[in-house]
Amino acid sequence: MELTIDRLSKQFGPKIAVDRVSLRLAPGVTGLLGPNGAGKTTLMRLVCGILKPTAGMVSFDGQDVGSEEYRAGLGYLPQDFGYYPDFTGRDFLLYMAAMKGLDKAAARRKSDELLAVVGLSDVQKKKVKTYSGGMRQRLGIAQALLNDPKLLVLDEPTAGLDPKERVRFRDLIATLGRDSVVLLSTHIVSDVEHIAGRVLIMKDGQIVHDGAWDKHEDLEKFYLAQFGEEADHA
Amino acid sequence: MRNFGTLYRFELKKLCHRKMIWVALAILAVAAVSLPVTQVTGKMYVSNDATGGEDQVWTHYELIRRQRQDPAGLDGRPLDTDLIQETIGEMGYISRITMPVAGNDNAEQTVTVRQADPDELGWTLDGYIIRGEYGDIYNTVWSMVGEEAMTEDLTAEDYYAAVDAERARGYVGWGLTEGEMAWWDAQAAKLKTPLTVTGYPDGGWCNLAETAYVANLFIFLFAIIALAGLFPMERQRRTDALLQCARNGKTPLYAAKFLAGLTASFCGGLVILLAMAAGCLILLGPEDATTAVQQLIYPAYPAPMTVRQLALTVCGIYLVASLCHAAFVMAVGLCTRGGTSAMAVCFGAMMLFIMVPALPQSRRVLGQVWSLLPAVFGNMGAVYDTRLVHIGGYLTNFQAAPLLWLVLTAALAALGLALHRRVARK
Repeated sequence: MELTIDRLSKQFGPKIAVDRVSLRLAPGVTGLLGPNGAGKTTLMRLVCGILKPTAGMVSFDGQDVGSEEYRAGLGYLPQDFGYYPDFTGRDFLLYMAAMKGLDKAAARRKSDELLAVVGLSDVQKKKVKTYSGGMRQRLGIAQALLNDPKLLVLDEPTAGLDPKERVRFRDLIATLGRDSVVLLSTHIVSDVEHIAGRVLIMKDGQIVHDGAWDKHEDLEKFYLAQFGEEADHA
Repeated sequence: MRNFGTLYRFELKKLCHRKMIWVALAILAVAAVSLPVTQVTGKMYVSNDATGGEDQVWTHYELIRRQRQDPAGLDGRPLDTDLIQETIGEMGYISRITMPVAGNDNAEQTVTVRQADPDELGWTLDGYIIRGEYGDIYNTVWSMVGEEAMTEDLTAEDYYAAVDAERARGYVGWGLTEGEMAWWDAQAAKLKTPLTVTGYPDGGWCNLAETAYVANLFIFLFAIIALAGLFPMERQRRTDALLQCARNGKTPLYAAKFLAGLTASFCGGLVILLAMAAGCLILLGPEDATTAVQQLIYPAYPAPMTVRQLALTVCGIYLVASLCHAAFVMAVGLCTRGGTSAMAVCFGAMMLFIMVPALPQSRRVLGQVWSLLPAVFGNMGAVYDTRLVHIGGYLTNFQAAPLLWLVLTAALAALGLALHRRVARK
């Protein structure tokens, strides 16, 4: 099981958002860090097949990003995703389950299971427009896991969650990372610190660091060091 | 297609959750009902100068209600020499009216109007209606033979010969081929003469046939309001990323949305047409159902058809048009990627179709194609248009239009799928 990204590039006019990125990701959690505008979200959208690359290719176990088989094993939580305000939480999951190809029985079973996992069972019949920001984020996490994805792409997944929920979510992701390829983009360094076995740092569309870091060292300091800002922080 | 039924139901649910659609449908349905309602509101005033006594005032509702009872007793009579002569005899009263010339406020013209003598028939509601009933028969005959021929020598044979001549002129005017003329002559041979007259010329079925074109425009308008944002709204709601990366996010999702859009437009069209039909038939009555279109619409129409058949045919055709309107609007939405811009483009197209109802008859092919467009087809022009469509054999415009629109709907569906499947560049 491997996600292959080969010389992937994306250009918007004169701006190169992703610049010849090549990666091979095996099962496990990979953290993606970088400043605003580094190209993290663009890279994730390319991996999910939502954007068309200017050059390069993305594949998962030999399946090209444009194929139905690729999408069948993909789970994605965008950074700023929308919802259908008049759907109930359960409706939303059942709809997304149908979108992901689950049959009715599997859709109901997985929806019930995930609503319990993310702590939304009590409000599943309420309309999503009545949910708080954190509740909507948890619903988003649930929809990403409906199809037991082998490739899970999470863009700022813990935004809006309280500390307790964040810890729960971290544990969940760590568990999923045992059997799936998880690519996790976040500004919350501690999330990556606790669960990622591999760290990618992105700057100006390029990967400037790829690999583990010295776990005895503070990851935030390590990250800032990549941008020469350690002196300011000290 | 996996989970298609579930996806379709949820797409319908999304549509049903949009309050704007229900508000628009309610307004359009009320407008559709109100068209015949306006015919029964208001009053008729007859000045006391003519009556020599009190003013006569009748409501339009009284007038229509009494009209439905056929006080002249003409209903069911054959349009033969006896009736033609009786009508000419009744219409012996000539009045001259001075009125401004159209487009020139400084000039006046005197118009001769022939009507049944009010002094003989009396200044009552019945008298007024009887004058109107004979007047309708008079105008039907006069429109074919001309004023000069409306004498005591005019026979039914003269009238029907004039109808045949008018029909032949129409063939030439529309540029029909020899084969088309022969085909229509064969249809005309099936017409039974003399025609059976209706005593109630302004009934519900005739009104429905005449105003159904307005319902077609209402249906187009409803499709624009309901469906212009059907595809773009996913992007506006920021749900597009979730959908595009899902297994069924391409063709199955498109098919479910497209079918939901067709369903909404069809159901909306049904509501609008039923509202209009209810208004027409309840208020104006169904008594003219079996009247030939030759009496009420166009004497030279070369095929046997009743007013009810015409009304139901145009209503059925416009239900098919609702599918084409929906497909067009959804395709525009996919092109523009914005609900508001799609609405603007579709409204512009609608205005174009309304303002250009026909192209010159000399442009046979272009004119015929234009006349068969869903938003253009209809009005009573469809009855006068005898151009045929060659698909295998000959098809009239009423037969060809729905077939062509289904093909057009399928073509727009294919275009929409190609647009939906393209991966975003940004």
